[in-house]
Amino acid sequence: MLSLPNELLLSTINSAFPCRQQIIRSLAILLSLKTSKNIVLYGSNATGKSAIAKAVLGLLSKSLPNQGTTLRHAIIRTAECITPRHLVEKTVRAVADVVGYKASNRCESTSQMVNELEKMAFWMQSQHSYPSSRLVLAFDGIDRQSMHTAALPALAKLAELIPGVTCVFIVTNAMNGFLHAPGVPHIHFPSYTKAELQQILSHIVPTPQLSGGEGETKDVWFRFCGIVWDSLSKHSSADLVSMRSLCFRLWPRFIRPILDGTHTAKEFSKVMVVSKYLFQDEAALVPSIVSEAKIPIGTDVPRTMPHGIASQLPYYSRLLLVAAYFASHNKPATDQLFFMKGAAPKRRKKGGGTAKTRTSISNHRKISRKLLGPQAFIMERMLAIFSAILADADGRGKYAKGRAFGDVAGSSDVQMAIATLMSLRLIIKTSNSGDVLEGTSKYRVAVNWDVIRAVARSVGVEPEDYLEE
Amino acid sequence: MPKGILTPSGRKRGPKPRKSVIFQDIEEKDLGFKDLPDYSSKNKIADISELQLPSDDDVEDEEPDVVADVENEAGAESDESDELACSICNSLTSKRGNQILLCDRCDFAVHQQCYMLPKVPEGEWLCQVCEAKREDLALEPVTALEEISSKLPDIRGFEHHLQTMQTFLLGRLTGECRMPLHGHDEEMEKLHQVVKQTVLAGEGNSMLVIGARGVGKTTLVDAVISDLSDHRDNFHVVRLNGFIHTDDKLALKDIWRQLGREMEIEDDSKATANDTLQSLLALLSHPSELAEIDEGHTTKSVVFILDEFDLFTTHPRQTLLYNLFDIAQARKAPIVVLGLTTRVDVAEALEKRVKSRFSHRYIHLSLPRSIPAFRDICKGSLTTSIEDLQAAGFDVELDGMSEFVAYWQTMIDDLCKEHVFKYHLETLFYKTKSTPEFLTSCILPVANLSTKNFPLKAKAFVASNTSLSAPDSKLHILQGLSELELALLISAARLDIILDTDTCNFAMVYDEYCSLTSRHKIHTSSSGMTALGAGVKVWGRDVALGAWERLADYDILVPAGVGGTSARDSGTVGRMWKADVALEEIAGSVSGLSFAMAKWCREI
Repeated sequence: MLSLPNELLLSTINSAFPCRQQIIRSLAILLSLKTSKNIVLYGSNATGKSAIAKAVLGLLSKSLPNQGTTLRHAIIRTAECITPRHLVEKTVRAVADVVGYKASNRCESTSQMVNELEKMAFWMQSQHSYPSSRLVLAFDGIDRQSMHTAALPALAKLAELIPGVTCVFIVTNAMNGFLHAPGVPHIHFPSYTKAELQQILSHIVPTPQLSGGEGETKDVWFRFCGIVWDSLSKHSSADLVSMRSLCFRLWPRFIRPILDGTHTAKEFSKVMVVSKYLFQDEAALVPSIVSEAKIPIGTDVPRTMPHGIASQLPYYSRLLLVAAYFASHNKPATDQLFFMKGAAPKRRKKGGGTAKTRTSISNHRKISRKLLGPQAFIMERMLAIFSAILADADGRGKYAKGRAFGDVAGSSDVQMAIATLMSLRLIIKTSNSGDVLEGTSKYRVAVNWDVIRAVARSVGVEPEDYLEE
Repeated sequence: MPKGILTPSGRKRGPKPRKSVIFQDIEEKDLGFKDLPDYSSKNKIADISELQLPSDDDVEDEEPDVVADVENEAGAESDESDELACSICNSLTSKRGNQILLCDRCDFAVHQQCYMLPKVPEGEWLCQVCEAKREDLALEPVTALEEISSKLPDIRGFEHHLQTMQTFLLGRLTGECRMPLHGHDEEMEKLHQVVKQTVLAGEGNSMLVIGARGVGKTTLVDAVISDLSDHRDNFHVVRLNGFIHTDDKLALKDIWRQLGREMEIEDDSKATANDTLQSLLALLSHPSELAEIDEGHTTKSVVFILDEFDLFTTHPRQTLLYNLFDIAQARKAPIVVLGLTTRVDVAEALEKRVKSRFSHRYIHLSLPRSIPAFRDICKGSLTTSIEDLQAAGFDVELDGMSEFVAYWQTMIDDLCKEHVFKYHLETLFYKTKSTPEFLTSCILPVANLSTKNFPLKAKAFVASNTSLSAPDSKLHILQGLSELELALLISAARLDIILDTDTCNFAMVYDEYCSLTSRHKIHTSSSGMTALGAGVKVWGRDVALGAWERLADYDILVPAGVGGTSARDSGTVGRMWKADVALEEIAGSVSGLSFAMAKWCREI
C-alpha cells in the first residue's frame, strides 16, 4: 500500500535545513515510492543537495520498517573514484557493506556490477522478513569527473534492470538528456537568497561570544552577516559555504572593538564604521595558506627583496628565463628594434617593396597582444635574444668577464640551464616533435609579469625597455 | 528623361503615407497558435479598462476588466473589443451574463461560460494558469487542521480505494509497470508475427525497432512477449544493453549467464572469450541438427533483445552481431534478434558481411503526431479499468470498487476539460511530445491525493515549485552567481561579439571587465549619482580569478579545444575559453540584475 512520509518526521529535517521544505517533501515522496527508479537532484554548489539527500535517506531507512518496507541506502562519492573501474568496485563494495553480503572483491565492468548488484538485491530480499526491501544508490557529484559520464546511461539502467533499486544522481549541471533516459524526475535546488542565507546563518552561534551572552551575540551576528553579504559575499562568491567561512574569518576582527571595550554591542553602526576596512579589503576573499592574522592591518607591507625563483635560480638561468619571456611577448618582427645594436648596418630590402595589401578593415576591436598571453617561440630566437640582453646585464656571471658571447651561448651549460628550466616547467615545450634542445622546436614561457620583473631586476635588466607594450 | 531631384517621382509615393495612417487603426492579428493564450494585445486592453473604469464606477458592475456589451458601447471601442475572441470557443460576442473576461496578469481572454464562472468575479481575477503560478499551492503540507474535503463522493471504503488507485497509478507513472500502448497496433502485429514464427515454427529472424526515447520500444517488445506467455516454456529471452555490455566479451558472458549455463569464468584471455563463443555457437547450433535427425523433437528458441543496438555496431569487427545474424539467417537454430535503437540510420553502420545477413525488417515507432493523440495517451495513462487492477493483483471484489473506478474516470474526464490541464499538455507536446515527461509531471499530484486533498486539480500540474521536469539549459545556474561572476560572464559574452572570435582568455575578459566597470564608475560619478552597488568596485585580479574558476567549474565556460597539452600546462589562467551562454540570454535569465549590468548586456 501507498505510504507517504510522515509530516512529523520530515519536520525534524526541515528544522535542520531551513528554507527547503518543499524540496525535502518532494524528495521524500519520491524516495518512499517503492517504484521510483531514477531521481536527479541538481543545483549550484552549496545548496544542500548532498546533505539533504543524506538526511532524507537516513530518515527513511529508519522509519520505513514500521510500514513493512526495509530500505538500505549507499552513498557513493564519485569524486573519489579515479577510474571507471574504481567507481564500479566502490559501488559494489558500498552496497555489500550496507546489505551485509560478502561480495567478491573483483568487479571489472558495468555488466559485472549489474550481476553482483542483482545477486545482492535478491539475497537481501530473501534475508528480511519484510514483504519488500529496497536499495537506494546515491551517486554524489557524478558529473564532476568527465570519465564517469560514459557510465551514466548504464547506471540509469540499473534501476530498470534490478527490481527494488532506486538511483539518485546528485549533479551540479543537469544537461538535457544526460542520462539517456526519458522522463526522469529532476528536483532543482535553487541558490539561497540573501534573506535565506541570513536566516540559515542566524542558527549558528559564533565564537568568540560577546560578553552580553548568547542573545546579544546572535543579534550582532545577524546584522553582521547582512553586512558581509552586502559588501563582500554578494559580489565575490554568493554561496552558503564561502559566505559562512568568510563570516567566521571576519567575526573575531569585527567584534574586537566590542571585546576591547571601546564600543558597546548596542553601538552597531559605530563598530561598523571602525571596522570599515574589513569590508573594503578584498584580502579576505583570496584564499591563502598563510594566515592573514599576522599581517598588521592597515599598514602596507613593504616589498621584500627578490625572493622565490628570483633568488634561487643561477644567474644564467634567470637571464634565459627573461629572454624567454621577451621572446614570448614580443613579435618577432620587432626584435630588430629592441635587440639589435645601433651600430649594426641596416639591411636594405631587396627587390623593392610591394605595397602591402590591406586586409579588410574590420569593425572589431584589436586584441592587445599582452592579453593574449605568452606565444610560442623557437629556441634559436630565444638564444639570440639571450645574447643580446647578456650585454646589458650587470654581468655577475662567472663567464662574463673577459669572455665573448660565443663561448656562452650554445655551450653545454646554457643547454643544461634550458633543460632545467624546462623540467621546472618555467618554460614549456609546445611542439611535440623534435629533440628537446633542437633549435627549431617551439617553447612558451610559463611565468607571469610580476615574477619576471623581479627576476629581470635581479640580473640588472630593465624589462620594460625590451617589451612592446 | 533624366531624373533630378525635382522629378515628380516623389509625388507618386504621395498616397502611401495616408495608407499607412489607415493601417495604424487596423490591429495586426496573430493568426498562429490560436489555442494558446494571446499575449500580444496588452496595451490596447489596458486602454479599455482605463476607459471603462470611471464610467462604471457607480453601476453594479464593479469588475475592472470586463469588456462591456458591444451594443452599449460606441463605435471606436467596438472595433477593439472585436479583437477579444474567447480563447476557448473563438467567438467574439460578449453579452451580459456571458461576458469575456480578461486575466489581470496575462491578458488571457475567455467567456464566462466557457470558463464555467457563474458570475463575474469581483476585484482582481486571474486565469487558472496564473492563479496556480501565484499560489504554488500544489504541495501544501497536509496538516491536521485541514478539513476533510467536502467534495468526497459517497462511496464505501473510499479511502482504501483511493490508496489502491494511487499505488497502481504510481507504479505506472514511475515506469515500473508498463502502460498499454496506444496507436501502434500495426507495428505490434508485425512484431508479434515475427516472434511467433520463431517460437512456433522455428524460423530464424532478425528485426530492428526504431523510435525516439520514451516512445515505447521496450513496452512493445514486452507486450509481444507477454502475449506469447502461453508458449513461455518454448523459448528463452536474452536481454542485452549496449550501455552495459560495452564489448562483445561481456555480452557473450552475459548471454551465457542468462541462458542458464553457469561456467567457470577464468581470467581474461582471448581464448576464454573465444571458447565461450564456440560453446555458445555449439549450443545454439546443436538443437537444430538434432531436429534434423529427430523430426518429432521440438527445440527451444531464443529471443535476443539488444537494447541500444547502435552501440553494438561499434564493437570491433561486430563479431557478436555477425554471429547472431548468421545463426538467425542460416537457420542453424530458431533465434530471433530484435534490435532496439533510436538511430534511424543504424543499418548503415553495419559491416557489409553483417548487413547481408540482416533481414532488413524494420519497425518505426513514432511519437504522437497531434495534440488529440497525445491527449488520449496521457488520459489513458491516468485511467484504468477493473480488469487492469485485477491483473495487477489488487482485490477488486471490495464494496464500491467499481463505483470508485467509474468515479475516477469521470474525475479524469473533468480534469482533461480544464483549461489549465490542456495548457500543461500543450506545453509538453510542443516541447517534447514525450509521454514519460507527462507521467513524471503526474507523480507528485497523484501522490499528494488524500481524503483531505481530494479531487485532482489541474493547478497541481503547473505549480512551478514542484515541477519535476529537467532544466532546458544551463541558464538556471546564472541565478545563483555572484555579481562579479556575472560581470565576468557578461564581459566574456561581449568579447564574443566585439572581437568576433568565440574564444577568450582570462586576461582579455578581466581587461574588458575593468574597462566596463571604470567607465560605469566615471559615468555615475559625473552624473552625480551616488555610486553605490554593483559594478562600481573593480575587484582585484585574484578575486576575479577565483570567480573565473568557478564559472569554469559550472561548465558555463567550456575550454576551447586548441592544443590539449598546452591547456593542461597553463591552467585556468592561460587557457582559451568559450562562453557557453550568449549575451542576450544573460539578462533574461537573471532576475534582479543591476541596472548597469543590464545595460552592458544591451549595448556593445
